[in-house]
Amino acid sequence: MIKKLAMTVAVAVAAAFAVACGSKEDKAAIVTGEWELVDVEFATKSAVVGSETVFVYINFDAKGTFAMYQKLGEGRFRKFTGTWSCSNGLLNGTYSDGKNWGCPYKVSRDGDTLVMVSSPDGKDSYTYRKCTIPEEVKKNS
Amino acid sequence: MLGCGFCRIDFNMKNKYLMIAAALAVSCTAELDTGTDAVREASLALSRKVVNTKSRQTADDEFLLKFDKAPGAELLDSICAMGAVSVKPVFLPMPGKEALRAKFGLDRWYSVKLDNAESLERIVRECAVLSCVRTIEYSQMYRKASDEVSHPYYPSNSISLAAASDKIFNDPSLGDQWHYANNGDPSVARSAYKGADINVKDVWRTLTAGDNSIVVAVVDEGVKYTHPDLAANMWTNPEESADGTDTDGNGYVDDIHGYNFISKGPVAWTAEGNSGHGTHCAGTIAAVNNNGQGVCGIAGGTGKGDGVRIMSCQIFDGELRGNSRTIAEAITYAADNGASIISCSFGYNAGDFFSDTDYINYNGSLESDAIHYFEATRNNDVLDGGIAIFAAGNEAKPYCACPGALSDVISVSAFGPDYLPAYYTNYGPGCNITAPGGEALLAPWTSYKSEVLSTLVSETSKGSADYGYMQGTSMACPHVSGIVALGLSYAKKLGKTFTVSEFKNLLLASTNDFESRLSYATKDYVSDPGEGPGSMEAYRKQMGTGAVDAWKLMMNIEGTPCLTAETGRNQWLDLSSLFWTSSINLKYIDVEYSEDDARAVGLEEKPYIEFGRLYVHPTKCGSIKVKINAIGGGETLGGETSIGGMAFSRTCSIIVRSHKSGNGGWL
Repeated sequence: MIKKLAMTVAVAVAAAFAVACGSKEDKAAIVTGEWELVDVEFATKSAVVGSETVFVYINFDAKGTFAMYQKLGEGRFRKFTGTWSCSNGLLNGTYSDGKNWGCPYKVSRDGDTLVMVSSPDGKDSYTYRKCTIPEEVKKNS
Repeated sequence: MLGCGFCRIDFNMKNKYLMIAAALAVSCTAELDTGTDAVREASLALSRKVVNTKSRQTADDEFLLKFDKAPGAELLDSICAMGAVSVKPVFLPMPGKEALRAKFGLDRWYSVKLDNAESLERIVRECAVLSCVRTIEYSQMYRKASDEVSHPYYPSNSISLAAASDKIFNDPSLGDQWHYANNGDPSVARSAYKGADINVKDVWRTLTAGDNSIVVAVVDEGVKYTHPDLAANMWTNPEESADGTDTDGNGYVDDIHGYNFISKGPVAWTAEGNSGHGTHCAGTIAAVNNNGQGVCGIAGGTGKGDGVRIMSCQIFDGELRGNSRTIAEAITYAADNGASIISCSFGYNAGDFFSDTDYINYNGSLESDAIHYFEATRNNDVLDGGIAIFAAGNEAKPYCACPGALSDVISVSAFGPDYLPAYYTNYGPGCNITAPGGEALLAPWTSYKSEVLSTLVSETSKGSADYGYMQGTSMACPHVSGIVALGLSYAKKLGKTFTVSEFKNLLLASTNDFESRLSYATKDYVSDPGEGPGSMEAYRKQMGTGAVDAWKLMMNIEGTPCLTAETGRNQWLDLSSLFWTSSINLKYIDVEYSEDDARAVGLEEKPYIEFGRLYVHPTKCGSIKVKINAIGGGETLGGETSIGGMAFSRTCSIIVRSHKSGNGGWL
């Protein structure tokens, strides 16, 4: 089932994270798998007044490629693919069309929760939860 | 019945005036004083109330008038007393629709029948001086937006190579319908341009091919409802029987698949002079798909009874043509019997009218009321009304013909398989969108394949086959009607609802760029057709918002994606996700947003649009909703004082974040 995520101020972000992205071995353990965006926190909290609904599903695979399905507002899911890498505690990537991600992210994980904080400014924080990406999302994007 | 078949027609003038004065004492003031003032007043009334002039194109035994309020029997009798044979409501009563009809004045339109042409102008003059008469209209004849020339086509029994390779439907002639999927085949035209089509195949393949609850009224010649490629998709009145009587008591005899408003009976197509024009338009909209024979229709379903339904509202029959009254009756019938779309490939001469006011005040008041009534009548789960679609006309004039040029109806210009304007198409103010209309004379012109292939009528003197080619904005119009029908089908499937205005916004924003090619491509004729402006540059921004695209309409129906922006800098946002590739060529009016939203994202300056790009400068994260207003066709809006484009808009959100990727991806 697809859950809605309103871009409202996050009440809280997980306080502690058990693992940080560092070594090559850590990479698969931390980010690989399927994730669903469940929370957003902007540094400029007072500015977050919108009510847009955002859906993001990401599959980071162990080969260093990703498939992301996003729906911002209405419309159908759009699929993005590309490659990712993790080094020096930072997750970064490139889309298949050659565009870079908007920024690298400092990632941390606590069980089924993955937190990605924009780097180096730390302005935005995004919380993802482990999931199985719905087939209808994959099929219709 | 309020008519006056009993009225006496042998009164002398004096007696008639006495009767009129007496009859109108209660409900109406008759300005019948003698003397100069009365003469002047009568003259003024004539010029003010009589919206058109008598001509060779007007009926000589009937005129139409509209009262200020519903008339009483005395008033009608008094008009009979002037010499009319009858005075009857134009529209048959429709239980349950009284309020809506009253809202648009349909209950106040009356037809005055005469027994001889000589009395026409006299009785018009006499009616004009009645203060309770608001409008008088000579009943004006229409013309078809087509040369009515067709070329027969005989389908093979096997699927053509192009169709077979796609394996969407098994109709053998689909591969010859370049207007649905143009692969640039040089046998169609040496200048055929790949992609010069309506981009419908992926819609069929993955989204929808129709819905049998959506009804499209083809207001045209009668549709051959027995045609093997149409019969299963004909609208059927379940309460009517083919027995020569009005079985269901709705006032229309044998209106099983529609009605013949010329001959007042069942739909017909075999009279001398019929061309199959209506049948051709119907086939483009909803020829039955996947039935192993003939052609495909845009919203013709998948062969499982799921095609949209065609209602034949016949306003031409052989050499007989429709007039103001029959047109209005047909459109009203469509509204009252479930149609969501009227597909109208007819119109006045281009240049007869140059504004809505021109049209309404000088000729089309009755039709205008009927069109507005149709647009306000809800007949499906998706829209709050109906959508009227007209051909732009085939006179190669730099303006659209009415009624298509009216600011609230969709008007369709035409292009050929070379993705350039067809030589015959009208263009310019009033044209809202363009679609395939086919075009003769394109090299090598060894066949008629560059025209539009659809169903036809083999029983007419002008045709010998049940399939064939025709060209014209008449053919472009049903392409848009079919796409709108597909859109309504898909919206219903998704459970989405729209206002008529919103849906027209989506349609006009669902186009491909039609401008770029005008700057470098030229027509490749075997001989100069001798029409059109000669230069492709003359068509620039004159064909509407662009070439209609079925897939894009479905995407727009699914929803509007958000744009993404980044804090801290002035930046431009590509509007192609809202207006597709036509975005750069549109004339934009303004950008609307709320002050609250502007404060929330800390806008440094008012957003603006240049070259199809929206410039914004937010300083805070969040989202803002903006409404972008544009002109659907041309540089200026049409309306009361001039014909022009249709106002349309798209609303979207902009999500502002601290970082943004170069391609809109979330990461």
